Amino acid sequence: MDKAVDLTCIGGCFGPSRKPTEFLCLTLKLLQLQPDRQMLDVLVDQKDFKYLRALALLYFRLTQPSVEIYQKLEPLYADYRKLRSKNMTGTYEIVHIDEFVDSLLRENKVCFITLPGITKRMALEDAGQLAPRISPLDDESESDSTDN
Amino acid sequence: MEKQQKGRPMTTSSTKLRRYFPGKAPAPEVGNFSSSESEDDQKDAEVKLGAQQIAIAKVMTRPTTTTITMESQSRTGSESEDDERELLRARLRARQLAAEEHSSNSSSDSDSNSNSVHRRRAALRQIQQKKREQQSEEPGTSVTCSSEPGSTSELETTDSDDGYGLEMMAKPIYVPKAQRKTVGLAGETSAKEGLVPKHEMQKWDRQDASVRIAASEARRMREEPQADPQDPMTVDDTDDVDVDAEIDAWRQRETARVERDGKEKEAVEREEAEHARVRGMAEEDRDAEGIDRARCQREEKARKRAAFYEPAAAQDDVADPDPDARLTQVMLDYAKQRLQPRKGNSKARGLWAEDTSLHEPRSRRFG
Repeated sequence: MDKAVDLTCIGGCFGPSRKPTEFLCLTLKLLQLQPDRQMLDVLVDQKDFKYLRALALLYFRLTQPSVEIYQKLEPLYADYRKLRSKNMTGTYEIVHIDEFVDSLLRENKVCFITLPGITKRMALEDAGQLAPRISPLDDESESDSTDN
Repeated sequence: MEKQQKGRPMTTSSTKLRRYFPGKAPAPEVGNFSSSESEDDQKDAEVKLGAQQIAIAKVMTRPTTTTITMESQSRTGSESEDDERELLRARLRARQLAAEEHSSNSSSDSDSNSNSVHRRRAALRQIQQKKREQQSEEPGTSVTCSSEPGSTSELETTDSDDGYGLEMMAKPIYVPKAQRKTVGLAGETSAKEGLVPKHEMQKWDRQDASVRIAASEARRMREEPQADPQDPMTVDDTDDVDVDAEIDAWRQRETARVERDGKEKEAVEREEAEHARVRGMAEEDRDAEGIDRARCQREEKARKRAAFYEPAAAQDDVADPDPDARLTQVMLDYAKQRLQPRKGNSKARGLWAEDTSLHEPRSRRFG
Protein backbone atom coordinates (compact mmCIF):
# COMPACT_ATOMS: atom_id res chain seq x y z
CA MET A 1 0.00 0.00 0.00
CA ASP A 2 2.93 2.31 0.65
CA LYS A 3 4.16 1.79 -2.87
CA ALA A 4 0.71 2.49 -4.24
CA VAL A 5 0.66 5.77 -2.39
CA ASP A 6 4.04 6.65 -3.89
CA LEU A 7 2.93 6.03 -7.46
CA THR A 8 3.75 8.80 -9.89
CA CYS A 9 2.07 7.60 -13.05
CA ILE A 10 -0.30 5.11 -14.55
CA GLY A 11 0.40 2.95 -17.57
CA GLY A 12 0.94 -0.52 -18.94
CA CYS A 13 4.16 -1.49 -20.67
CA PHE A 14 6.68 0.74 -22.32
CA GLY A 15 9.87 0.55 -24.29
CA PRO A 16 11.04 -1.95 -26.89
CA SER A 17 11.36 -4.67 -24.29
CA ARG A 18 7.81 -4.06 -22.99
CA LYS A 19 8.87 -3.23 -19.50
CA PRO A 20 5.92 -3.01 -17.08
CA THR A 21 5.22 0.09 -15.08
CA GLU A 22 4.87 0.09 -11.30
CA PHE A 23 1.18 0.70 -11.75
CA LEU A 24 0.81 -2.56 -13.64
CA CYS A 25 2.90 -4.46 -11.15
CA LEU A 26 0.80 -3.21 -8.26
CA THR A 27 -2.36 -4.17 -10.14
CA LEU A 28 -1.02 -7.69 -10.31
CA LYS A 29 -0.23 -7.54 -6.62
CA LEU A 30 -3.78 -6.50 -5.82
CA LEU A 31 -5.08 -9.38 -7.85
CA GLN A 32 -2.93 -11.70 -5.79
CA LEU A 33 -3.97 -10.14 -2.48
CA GLN A 34 -7.68 -10.02 -3.40
CA PRO A 35 -8.82 -7.36 -0.94
CA ASP A 36 -12.43 -7.62 0.25
CA ARG A 37 -15.25 -5.41 -0.96
CA GLN A 38 -15.16 -3.03 1.98
CA MET A 39 -11.48 -2.39 1.54
CA LEU A 40 -12.02 -1.84 -2.14
CA ASP A 41 -14.81 0.65 -1.54
CA VAL A 42 -12.58 2.57 0.82
CA LEU A 43 -9.81 2.71 -1.76
CA VAL A 44 -12.16 3.87 -4.49
CA ASP A 45 -13.97 6.48 -2.41
CA GLN A 46 -10.90 8.07 -0.86
CA LYS A 47 -9.79 11.29 -2.51
CA ASP A 48 -6.39 11.93 -1.01
CA PHE A 49 -4.29 9.78 -3.32
CA LYS A 50 -5.42 9.94 -6.91
CA TYR A 51 -3.05 7.23 -8.22
CA LEU A 52 -4.22 4.86 -5.51
CA ARG A 53 -7.75 5.66 -6.54
CA ALA A 54 -6.93 4.90 -10.18
CA LEU A 55 -5.39 1.59 -9.12
CA ALA A 56 -8.50 0.68 -7.17
CA LEU A 57 -10.70 1.68 -10.12
CA LEU A 58 -8.81 -0.64 -12.44
CA TYR A 59 -9.02 -3.51 -9.96
CA PHE A 60 -12.74 -2.86 -9.52
CA ARG A 61 -13.30 -3.00 -13.25
CA LEU A 62 -11.43 -6.26 -13.50
CA THR A 63 -13.21 -8.11 -10.73
CA GLN A 64 -16.71 -6.80 -10.10
CA PRO A 65 -20.01 -7.41 -11.98
CA SER A 66 -21.33 -5.02 -14.62
CA VAL A 67 -24.09 -3.38 -12.58
CA GLU A 68 -21.77 -2.53 -9.69
CA ILE A 69 -19.12 -1.24 -12.08
CA TYR A 70 -21.56 1.30 -13.53
CA GLN A 71 -22.85 2.25 -10.10
CA LYS A 72 -19.37 2.78 -8.66
CA LEU A 73 -17.47 4.28 -11.58
CA GLU A 74 -19.98 6.67 -13.16
CA PRO A 75 -20.03 9.13 -10.22
CA LEU A 76 -16.28 9.57 -10.76
CA TYR A 77 -17.03 11.34 -14.05
CA ALA A 78 -17.07 14.45 -11.88
CA ASP A 79 -13.43 14.04 -10.82
CA TYR A 80 -11.40 16.23 -13.20
CA ARG A 81 -7.98 15.80 -11.55
CA LYS A 82 -4.94 15.11 -13.67
CA LEU A 83 -3.07 11.84 -13.93
CA ARG A 84 0.35 11.26 -15.44
CA SER A 85 0.20 8.42 -17.97
CA LYS A 86 3.21 6.61 -19.40
CA ASN A 87 2.67 5.44 -22.96
CA MET A 88 4.39 2.78 -25.04
CA THR A 89 7.27 4.98 -26.09
CA GLY A 90 8.13 5.81 -22.49
CA THR A 91 6.97 9.41 -22.62
CA TYR A 92 4.44 10.95 -20.25
CA GLU A 93 1.14 12.61 -20.99
CA ILE A 94 -1.68 14.05 -18.96
CA VAL A 95 -4.91 12.08 -18.56
CA HIS A 96 -7.83 13.10 -16.38
CA ILE A 97 -9.60 10.77 -14.01
CA ASP A 98 -12.93 11.16 -15.81
CA GLU A 99 -11.24 10.19 -19.09
CA PHE A 100 -9.67 7.19 -17.35
CA VAL A 101 -13.08 6.14 -16.05
CA ASP A 102 -14.63 6.59 -19.48
CA SER A 103 -11.96 4.35 -21.04
CA LEU A 104 -12.55 1.72 -18.36
CA LEU A 105 -16.29 1.67 -19.16
CA ARG A 106 -16.06 1.77 -22.94
CA GLU A 107 -12.79 0.33 -24.19
CA ASN A 108 -11.55 -3.25 -24.38
CA LYS A 109 -7.93 -2.65 -23.51
CA VAL A 110 -6.57 -0.32 -20.88
CA CYS A 111 -3.02 -0.16 -19.52
CA PHE A 112 -1.97 -3.11 -21.64
CA ILE A 113 -4.69 -5.25 -20.05
CA THR A 114 -7.60 -6.70 -21.97
CA LEU A 115 -10.60 -5.95 -19.82
CA PRO A 116 -13.34 -8.52 -19.25
CA GLY A 117 -16.60 -8.05 -21.12
CA ILE A 118 -19.21 -5.75 -19.66
CA THR A 119 -22.92 -5.53 -20.44
CA LYS A 120 -24.06 -2.46 -22.35
CA ARG A 121 -25.65 0.20 -20.23
CA MET A 122 -28.72 0.33 -22.44
CA ALA A 123 -29.28 -3.39 -22.04
CA LEU A 124 -29.13 -3.01 -18.26
CA GLU A 125 -31.50 -0.06 -18.42
CA ASP A 126 -33.94 -2.02 -20.52
CA ALA A 127 -33.69 -4.86 -18.06
CA GLY A 128 -34.45 -2.44 -15.25
CA GLN A 129 -31.22 -3.09 -13.38
CA LEU A 130 -29.91 0.42 -13.89
CA ALA A 131 -31.49 3.82 -13.90
CA PRO A 132 -30.73 6.19 -16.74
CA ARG A 133 -27.52 8.05 -16.19
CA ILE A 134 -27.69 11.56 -14.88
CA SER A 135 -24.74 13.64 -15.85
CA PRO A 136 -23.12 16.03 -13.33
CA LEU A 137 -23.77 18.78 -15.87
CA ASP A 138 -27.48 18.11 -15.62
CA ASP A 139 -27.20 18.29 -11.88
CA GLU A 140 -25.51 21.63 -12.11
CA SER A 141 -28.08 23.01 -14.48
CA GLU A 142 -30.93 21.81 -12.28
CA SER A 143 -29.36 23.28 -9.20
CA ASP A 144 -28.85 26.60 -11.02
CA SER A 145 -32.44 26.65 -12.10
CA THR A 146 -33.69 25.89 -8.60
CA ASP A 147 -31.48 28.61 -7.19
CA ASN A 148 -32.88 31.03 -9.70
CA MET B 1 35.43 -89.62 -86.58
CA GLU B 2 33.95 -91.41 -83.71
CA LYS B 3 30.52 -92.76 -83.84
CA GLN B 4 28.12 -90.49 -82.17
CA GLN B 5 26.84 -92.02 -79.02
CA LYS B 6 23.33 -91.49 -77.95
CA GLY B 7 22.88 -88.60 -75.63
CA ARG B 8 26.31 -87.22 -76.18
CA PRO B 9 27.34 -84.45 -78.44
CA MET B 10 29.48 -85.38 -81.34
CA THR B 11 33.05 -84.29 -81.05
CA THR B 12 35.92 -84.41 -83.38
CA SER B 13 38.48 -84.87 -80.68
CA SER B 14 38.85 -87.56 -78.14
CA THR B 15 38.99 -85.01 -75.37
CA LYS B 16 36.60 -85.61 -72.62
CA LEU B 17 34.56 -82.55 -71.83
CA ARG B 18 34.82 -81.39 -68.33
CA ARG B 19 32.73 -78.90 -66.52
CA TYR B 20 34.31 -75.59 -65.61
CA PHE B 21 34.31 -74.54 -61.99
CA PRO B 22 35.40 -71.00 -61.35
CA GLY B 23 38.48 -70.83 -59.23
CA LYS B 24 39.42 -74.41 -59.91
CA ALA B 25 42.14 -75.20 -62.29
CA PRO B 26 41.03 -77.62 -64.96
CA ALA B 27 42.70 -81.01 -64.67
CA PRO B 28 45.04 -81.64 -67.51
CA GLU B 29 44.26 -84.38 -69.94
CA VAL B 30 46.67 -87.21 -69.39
CA GLY B 31 46.97 -89.82 -72.00
CA ASN B 32 45.27 -88.01 -74.85
CA PHE B 33 48.28 -86.94 -76.74
CA SER B 34 48.87 -87.67 -80.37
CA SER B 35 50.16 -91.03 -81.22
CA SER B 36 53.27 -89.58 -82.78
CA GLU B 37 54.83 -88.97 -79.36
CA SER B 38 56.87 -91.71 -77.85
CA GLU B 39 56.05 -93.24 -74.54
CA ASP B 40 59.09 -91.67 -72.94
CA ASP B 41 58.08 -88.26 -74.01
CA GLN B 42 54.67 -88.93 -72.71
CA LYS B 43 56.01 -89.95 -69.37
CA ASP B 44 58.20 -86.88 -69.17
CA ALA B 45 55.27 -84.71 -70.03
CA GLU B 46 53.21 -86.38 -67.36
CA VAL B 47 55.91 -85.77 -64.78
CA LYS B 48 56.22 -82.17 -65.79
CA LEU B 49 52.52 -81.66 -65.78
CA GLY B 50 52.22 -83.29 -62.43
CA ALA B 51 54.88 -81.05 -60.98
CA GLN B 52 53.20 -78.07 -62.53
CA GLN B 53 49.91 -79.05 -61.06
CA ILE B 54 51.44 -79.45 -57.65
CA ALA B 55 53.08 -76.07 -57.88
CA ILE B 56 49.96 -74.40 -59.14
CA ALA B 57 47.85 -76.11 -56.53
CA LYS B 58 50.17 -74.92 -53.84
CA VAL B 59 50.00 -71.44 -55.21
CA MET B 60 46.23 -71.45 -55.51
CA THR B 61 45.65 -72.90 -52.07
CA ARG B 62 48.08 -70.61 -50.35
CA PRO B 63 46.25 -67.79 -48.54
CA THR B 64 46.75 -64.54 -50.40
CA THR B 65 47.64 -62.66 -47.27
CA THR B 66 50.93 -64.44 -47.15
CA THR B 67 51.85 -63.04 -50.50
CA ILE B 68 51.11 -59.46 -49.63
CA THR B 69 52.46 -57.97 -46.46
CA MET B 70 50.17 -55.51 -44.62
CA GLU B 71 51.15 -53.43 -41.69
CA SER B 72 48.05 -54.26 -39.75
CA GLN B 73 48.57 -58.00 -39.92
CA SER B 74 50.30 -59.49 -36.98
CA ARG B 75 52.17 -62.70 -37.61
CA THR B 76 55.19 -64.36 -36.18
CA GLY B 77 58.26 -63.62 -38.28
CA SER B 78 59.60 -67.12 -38.57
CA GLU B 79 56.36 -68.71 -39.76
CA SER B 80 55.80 -66.15 -42.39
CA GLU B 81 59.31 -66.41 -43.72
CA ASP B 82 59.07 -70.18 -44.01
CA ASP B 83 55.81 -69.96 -45.83
CA GLU B 84 57.18 -67.41 -48.16
CA ARG B 85 60.22 -69.50 -48.95
CA GLU B 86 58.14 -72.52 -49.75
CA LEU B 87 55.89 -70.49 -51.89
CA LEU B 88 58.77 -69.00 -53.75
CA ARG B 89 60.26 -72.39 -54.39
CA ALA B 90 57.04 -73.74 -55.76
CA ARG B 91 56.59 -70.80 -58.01
CA LEU B 92 60.07 -70.98 -59.37
CA ARG B 93 59.73 -74.68 -60.08
CA ALA B 94 56.50 -74.06 -61.87
CA ARG B 95 58.07 -71.37 -63.95
CA GLN B 96 60.96 -73.49 -64.93
CA LEU B 97 58.79 -76.37 -65.91
CA ALA B 98 56.56 -74.10 -67.86
CA ALA B 99 59.50 -72.59 -69.63
CA GLU B 100 60.90 -76.01 -70.50
CA GLU B 101 57.55 -77.19 -71.67
CA HIS B 102 57.12 -74.13 -73.76
CA SER B 103 60.42 -74.69 -75.48
CA SER B 104 59.92 -78.42 -76.02
CA ASN B 105 56.31 -78.40 -76.99
CA SER B 106 56.28 -75.30 -79.03
CA SER B 107 55.88 -77.27 -82.23
CA SER B 108 53.11 -79.58 -81.05
CA ASP B 109 49.83 -77.87 -81.03
CA SER B 110 47.87 -79.79 -78.48
CA ASP B 111 44.26 -79.22 -78.05
CA SER B 112 44.43 -79.66 -74.33
CA ASN B 113 43.20 -76.62 -72.45
CA SER B 114 45.62 -77.13 -69.63
CA ASN B 115 48.64 -76.81 -71.92
CA SER B 116 47.47 -73.52 -73.28
CA VAL B 117 46.76 -72.23 -69.82
CA HIS B 118 50.17 -73.26 -68.59
CA ARG B 119 51.82 -71.61 -71.49
CA ARG B 120 50.04 -68.38 -70.86
CA ARG B 121 50.95 -68.45 -67.24
CA ALA B 122 54.53 -69.18 -68.01
CA ALA B 123 54.65 -66.22 -70.32
CA LEU B 124 53.17 -63.95 -67.70
CA ARG B 125 55.65 -65.17 -65.13
CA GLN B 126 58.49 -64.37 -67.42
CA ILE B 127 57.21 -60.88 -67.87
CA GLN B 128 56.86 -60.40 -64.15
CA GLN B 129 60.32 -61.75 -63.58
CA LYS B 130 61.74 -59.24 -65.95
CA LYS B 131 59.94 -56.47 -64.14
CA ARG B 132 61.31 -57.70 -60.86
CA GLU B 133 64.77 -57.72 -62.23
CA GLN B 134 64.32 -54.18 -63.37
CA GLN B 135 63.09 -53.18 -59.95
CA SER B 136 65.96 -54.91 -58.29
CA GLU B 137 68.31 -52.71 -60.23
CA GLU B 138 66.72 -49.63 -58.67
CA PRO B 139 68.41 -48.32 -55.53
CA GLY B 140 66.74 -48.83 -52.17
CA THR B 141 65.68 -52.33 -52.70
CA SER B 142 67.64 -54.98 -50.91
CA VAL B 143 67.88 -58.23 -52.68
CA THR B 144 69.30 -61.28 -51.00
CA CYS B 145 70.07 -64.51 -52.69
CA SER B 146 70.24 -67.83 -51.04
CA SER B 147 70.93 -71.19 -52.51
CA GLU B 148 69.63 -74.47 -51.38
CA PRO B 149 70.45 -77.97 -52.55
CA GLY B 150 68.08 -79.24 -55.07
CA SER B 151 66.60 -75.93 -55.84
CA THR B 152 67.36 -73.06 -58.00
CA SER B 153 68.43 -69.72 -56.70
CA GLU B 154 65.80 -67.77 -55.00
CA LEU B 155 65.23 -64.17 -54.90
CA GLU B 156 64.07 -62.65 -51.74
CA THR B 157 63.25 -59.05 -51.76
CA THR B 158 62.37 -56.98 -48.82
CA ASP B 159 60.78 -54.34 -50.92
CA SER B 160 57.27 -53.96 -49.72
CA ASP B 161 56.08 -52.96 -53.15
CA ASP B 162 57.20 -56.23 -54.64
CA GLY B 163 54.11 -58.25 -55.10
CA TYR B 164 54.09 -61.81 -56.34
CA GLY B 165 51.10 -61.26 -58.36
CA LEU B 166 49.98 -64.32 -60.13
CA GLU B 167 47.07 -62.25 -61.17
CA MET B 168 45.95 -62.20 -57.60
CA MET B 169 43.96 -59.40 -56.14
CA ALA B 170 44.69 -58.13 -52.67
CA LYS B 171 42.17 -59.38 -50.21
CA PRO B 172 40.44 -56.43 -48.65
CA ILE B 173 41.00 -56.05 -44.97
CA TYR B 174 38.58 -54.16 -42.77
CA VAL B 175 40.12 -51.19 -40.98
CA PRO B 176 38.00 -49.61 -38.24
CA LYS B 177 36.87 -46.04 -38.86
CA ALA B 178 38.89 -44.67 -35.99
CA GLN B 179 42.08 -46.09 -37.46
CA ARG B 180 41.49 -44.97 -40.99
CA LYS B 181 43.76 -42.28 -42.29
CA THR B 182 41.91 -41.43 -45.44
CA VAL B 183 39.91 -38.20 -45.65
CA GLY B 184 36.18 -38.32 -46.38
CA LEU B 185 34.89 -37.36 -49.80
CA ALA B 186 33.04 -34.28 -48.60
CA GLY B 187 35.32 -33.52 -45.73
CA GLU B 188 34.64 -34.06 -42.10
CA THR B 189 31.14 -32.63 -42.24
CA SER B 190 29.81 -35.52 -44.21
CA ALA B 191 31.23 -37.94 -41.74
CA LYS B 192 29.82 -35.85 -38.94
CA GLU B 193 26.39 -35.76 -40.57
CA GLY B 194 26.44 -39.42 -40.96
CA LEU B 195 27.17 -39.89 -37.29
CA VAL B 196 24.65 -37.38 -35.92
CA PRO B 197 21.00 -37.56 -36.94
CA LYS B 198 19.56 -34.68 -38.87
CA HIS B 199 17.00 -33.68 -36.29
CA GLU B 200 19.69 -33.49 -33.65
CA MET B 201 21.73 -31.19 -35.85
CA GLN B 202 18.71 -28.97 -36.38
CA LYS B 203 18.05 -28.90 -32.66
CA TRP B 204 21.59 -27.80 -31.96
CA ASP B 205 21.33 -25.13 -34.64
CA ARG B 206 18.16 -23.77 -33.08
CA GLN B 207 19.73 -23.68 -29.66
CA ASP B 208 22.74 -21.87 -31.02
CA ALA B 209 20.51 -19.39 -32.79
CA SER B 210 18.49 -18.69 -29.65
CA VAL B 211 21.64 -18.18 -27.60
CA ARG B 212 22.99 -15.81 -30.24
CA ILE B 213 19.75 -13.83 -30.32
CA ALA B 214 19.65 -13.56 -26.52
CA ALA B 215 23.25 -12.40 -26.47
CA SER B 216 22.66 -9.78 -29.14
CA GLU B 217 19.54 -8.56 -27.35
CA ALA B 218 21.41 -8.26 -24.04
CA ARG B 219 24.23 -6.44 -25.78
CA ARG B 220 21.80 -4.06 -27.43
CA MET B 221 20.02 -3.31 -24.18
CA ARG B 222 23.32 -2.70 -22.47
CA GLU B 223 24.64 -0.48 -25.18
CA GLU B 224 21.52 1.51 -26.03
CA PRO B 225 21.94 4.97 -24.63
CA GLN B 226 19.78 4.53 -21.54
CA ALA B 227 17.14 6.30 -23.51
CA ASP B 228 17.31 9.47 -21.54
CA PRO B 229 14.37 8.48 -19.35
CA GLN B 230 12.04 11.37 -19.25
CA ASP B 231 11.75 12.82 -15.84
CA PRO B 232 8.15 12.34 -14.71
CA MET B 233 8.29 15.70 -13.03
CA THR B 234 8.61 17.39 -16.38
CA VAL B 235 4.94 16.60 -16.91
CA ASP B 236 3.07 18.49 -14.26
CA ASP B 237 0.03 16.78 -12.80
CA THR B 238 -0.59 19.40 -10.16
CA ASP B 239 -4.27 20.12 -9.71
CA ASP B 240 -6.09 23.39 -9.11
CA VAL B 241 -3.43 25.46 -10.80
CA ASP B 242 -6.13 27.17 -12.89
CA VAL B 243 -9.41 25.96 -11.54
CA ASP B 244 -11.62 27.74 -14.05
CA ALA B 245 -9.71 26.35 -17.00
CA GLU B 246 -9.81 22.89 -15.56
CA ILE B 247 -13.52 23.10 -14.93
CA ASP B 248 -14.15 24.41 -18.42
CA ALA B 249 -12.12 21.57 -19.91
CA TRP B 250 -14.03 19.11 -17.81
CA ARG B 251 -17.33 20.58 -18.94
CA GLN B 252 -16.35 20.22 -22.55
CA ARG B 253 -15.41 16.62 -22.06
CA GLU B 254 -18.58 15.84 -20.20
CA THR B 255 -20.71 17.56 -22.82
CA ALA B 256 -19.05 15.51 -25.53
CA ARG B 257 -19.73 12.35 -23.58
CA VAL B 258 -23.36 13.27 -23.07
CA GLU B 259 -23.83 14.01 -26.78
CA ARG B 260 -22.18 10.78 -27.71
CA ASP B 261 -24.48 8.81 -25.41
CA GLY B 262 -27.47 10.65 -26.82
CA LYS B 263 -26.55 9.84 -30.42
CA GLU B 264 -26.08 6.18 -29.59
CA LYS B 265 -29.43 6.11 -27.92
CA GLU B 266 -31.12 7.76 -30.88
CA ALA B 267 -29.55 5.34 -33.32
CA VAL B 268 -30.83 2.40 -31.30
CA GLU B 269 -34.30 3.89 -31.04
CA ARG B 270 -34.38 4.63 -34.75
CA GLU B 271 -33.48 1.07 -35.57
CA GLU B 272 -36.12 -0.29 -33.22
CA ALA B 273 -38.71 1.99 -34.77
CA GLU B 274 -37.79 0.82 -38.24
CA HIS B 275 -38.11 -2.78 -37.13
CA ALA B 276 -41.51 -2.05 -35.66
CA ARG B 277 -42.66 -0.29 -38.80
CA VAL B 278 -41.61 -3.13 -41.04
CA ARG B 279 -43.28 -5.65 -38.78
CA GLY B 280 -46.46 -3.65 -38.87
CA MET B 281 -46.63 -3.44 -42.70
CA ALA B 282 -48.68 -5.72 -44.94
CA GLU B 283 -46.85 -8.51 -46.67
CA GLU B 284 -47.39 -7.11 -50.15
CA ASP B 285 -46.08 -3.71 -49.19
CA ARG B 286 -43.12 -5.31 -47.49
CA ASP B 287 -42.24 -7.35 -50.61
CA ALA B 288 -42.59 -4.34 -52.87
CA GLU B 289 -40.33 -2.32 -50.64
CA GLY B 290 -37.79 -5.11 -50.56
CA ILE B 291 -37.76 -5.43 -54.34
CA ASP B 292 -37.36 -1.72 -54.74
CA ARG B 293 -34.51 -1.67 -52.27
CA ALA B 294 -32.76 -4.56 -54.06
CA ARG B 295 -33.18 -2.85 -57.42
CA CYS B 296 -31.65 0.34 -56.09
CA GLN B 297 -28.72 -1.58 -54.67
CA ARG B 298 -28.10 -3.42 -57.93
CA GLU B 299 -28.26 -0.22 -59.93
CA GLU B 300 -25.84 1.43 -57.59
CA LYS B 301 -23.40 -1.41 -57.91
CA ALA B 302 -23.74 -1.55 -61.68
CA ARG B 303 -23.10 2.17 -61.81
CA LYS B 304 -19.94 1.77 -59.79
CA ARG B 305 -18.84 -1.15 -61.92
CA ALA B 306 -19.48 0.75 -65.13
CA ALA B 307 -17.61 3.70 -63.75
CA PHE B 308 -14.66 1.43 -63.10
CA TYR B 309 -14.57 -0.04 -66.61
CA GLU B 310 -15.80 3.03 -68.50
CA PRO B 311 -15.01 6.16 -66.57
CA ALA B 312 -16.32 8.33 -69.40
CA ALA B 313 -19.75 6.80 -69.08
CA ALA B 314 -19.94 7.77 -65.44
CA GLN B 315 -19.69 11.46 -66.22
CA ASP B 316 -22.89 13.39 -66.37
CA ASP B 317 -23.80 13.97 -69.98
CA VAL B 318 -25.97 17.07 -70.19
CA ALA B 319 -26.68 16.48 -73.87
CA ASP B 320 -28.05 13.02 -73.19
CA PRO B 321 -31.67 13.50 -72.19
CA ASP B 322 -32.12 9.87 -71.17
CA PRO B 323 -29.51 8.75 -68.66
CA ASP B 324 -31.45 5.57 -67.93
CA ALA B 325 -31.08 4.44 -71.54
CA ARG B 326 -27.32 4.94 -71.34
CA LEU B 327 -27.22 3.05 -68.09
CA THR B 328 -29.29 0.25 -69.55
CA GLN B 329 -26.91 0.06 -72.51
CA VAL B 330 -23.95 -0.12 -70.18
CA MET B 331 -25.62 -2.87 -68.24
CA LEU B 332 -26.46 -4.75 -71.43
CA ASP B 333 -22.88 -4.49 -72.60
CA TYR B 334 -21.69 -5.78 -69.30
CA ALA B 335 -24.16 -8.65 -69.44
CA LYS B 336 -22.92 -9.58 -72.92
CA GLN B 337 -19.41 -9.49 -71.64
CA ARG B 338 -20.39 -11.85 -68.88
CA LEU B 339 -22.06 -14.16 -71.37
CA GLN B 340 -18.73 -14.80 -73.04
CA PRO B 341 -17.50 -17.93 -71.36
CA ARG B 342 -13.99 -17.63 -70.12
CA LYS B 343 -11.45 -20.07 -71.30
CA GLY B 344 -11.55 -23.08 -69.07
CA ASN B 345 -14.36 -21.70 -66.97
CA SER B 346 -16.20 -24.81 -65.97
CA LYS B 347 -18.61 -22.89 -63.77
CA ALA B 348 -20.35 -21.13 -66.70
CA ARG B 349 -22.95 -23.82 -67.13
CA GLY B 350 -25.78 -21.64 -68.38
CA LEU B 351 -27.52 -18.33 -68.25
CA TRP B 352 -28.95 -18.76 -64.78
CA ALA B 353 -26.50 -16.23 -63.43
CA GLU B 354 -27.91 -13.66 -65.85
CA ASP B 355 -31.48 -14.18 -64.70
CA THR B 356 -32.59 -10.81 -63.43
CA SER B 357 -36.19 -11.76 -62.76
CA LEU B 358 -35.43 -12.78 -59.22
CA HIS B 359 -35.39 -10.49 -56.24
CA GLU B 360 -31.79 -11.21 -55.51
CA PRO B 361 -29.30 -12.31 -58.13
CA ARG B 362 -28.08 -15.84 -57.64
CA SER B 363 -24.51 -15.28 -58.58
CA ARG B 364 -22.33 -13.65 -56.01
CA ARG B 365 -20.42 -11.87 -58.71
CA PHE B 366 -23.40 -9.66 -59.35
CA GLY B 367 -24.14 -9.19 -55.71
